Amino acid sequence: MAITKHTKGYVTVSGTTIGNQSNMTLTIDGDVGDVTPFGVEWKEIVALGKGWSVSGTVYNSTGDGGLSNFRTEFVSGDRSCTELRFYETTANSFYGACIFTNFTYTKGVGNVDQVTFTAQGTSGLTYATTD
Amino acid sequence: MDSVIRTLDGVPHLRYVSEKFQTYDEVPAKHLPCAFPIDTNEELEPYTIGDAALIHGKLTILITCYVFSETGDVRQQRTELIQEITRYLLTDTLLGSLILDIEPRSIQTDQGMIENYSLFNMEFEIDYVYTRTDGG
Repeated sequence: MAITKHTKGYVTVSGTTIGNQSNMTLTIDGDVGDVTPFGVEWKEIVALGKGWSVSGTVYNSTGDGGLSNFRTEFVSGDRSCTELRFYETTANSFYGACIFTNFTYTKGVGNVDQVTFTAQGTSGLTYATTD
Repeated sequence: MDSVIRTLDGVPHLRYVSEKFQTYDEVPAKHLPCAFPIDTNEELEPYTIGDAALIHGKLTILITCYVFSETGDVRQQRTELIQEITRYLLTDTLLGSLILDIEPRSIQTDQGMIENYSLFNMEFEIDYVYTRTDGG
């Protein structure tokens, strides 16, 4: 069965997997413009630029290399990433360059520490299939 | 659970620790104070995504303890034993390395109904994770 689910897939940053991922979301937006002439019955819509972003939540682990690299980009880096990959399966992935836009570290009583992040695509998105 | 029992074995004021439950009148005097730990209900939920997805388990363990005093002065013994068991379980390094967390959840006593004895249950919740395909 080719239906995918959470037991396959993950996100990598510059080739390093971020560990302990609890959820990940890839959003591809396509803007549109309304070019309807006055008095016309049906709207005329044209496609404008596309954009993409990735957000996610991970359980914090001080020994995790992917999360450590990610943290460094926010603390002392320029927040840019030449390749962020969103794997839908072990092999199929969306990827592109991005800039990290948010890093939130949360502690709460009775809970494991969590980090949420968002990344905004700065280039076109590519979809690679090898499955 | 093995690690919990090993930790309880190190509690100085416990003379006897066993998974084989006994009622208070079955326990020889030389074994008091004693503790009978057992794992009870466990809640499981998917924890992470990916090929090596983890499962999060919340295991409730119940420790039944008996304290005895010929003079009936069991309150102090009971309090000290509760503190000692809690301190050992929450600070044991090996147990801590196997789990995410252990927290006390409740204590129920016999409310002084049995002369010269204090019977009480301590409930702890253990959080841990394991690789989904390993089965726990």
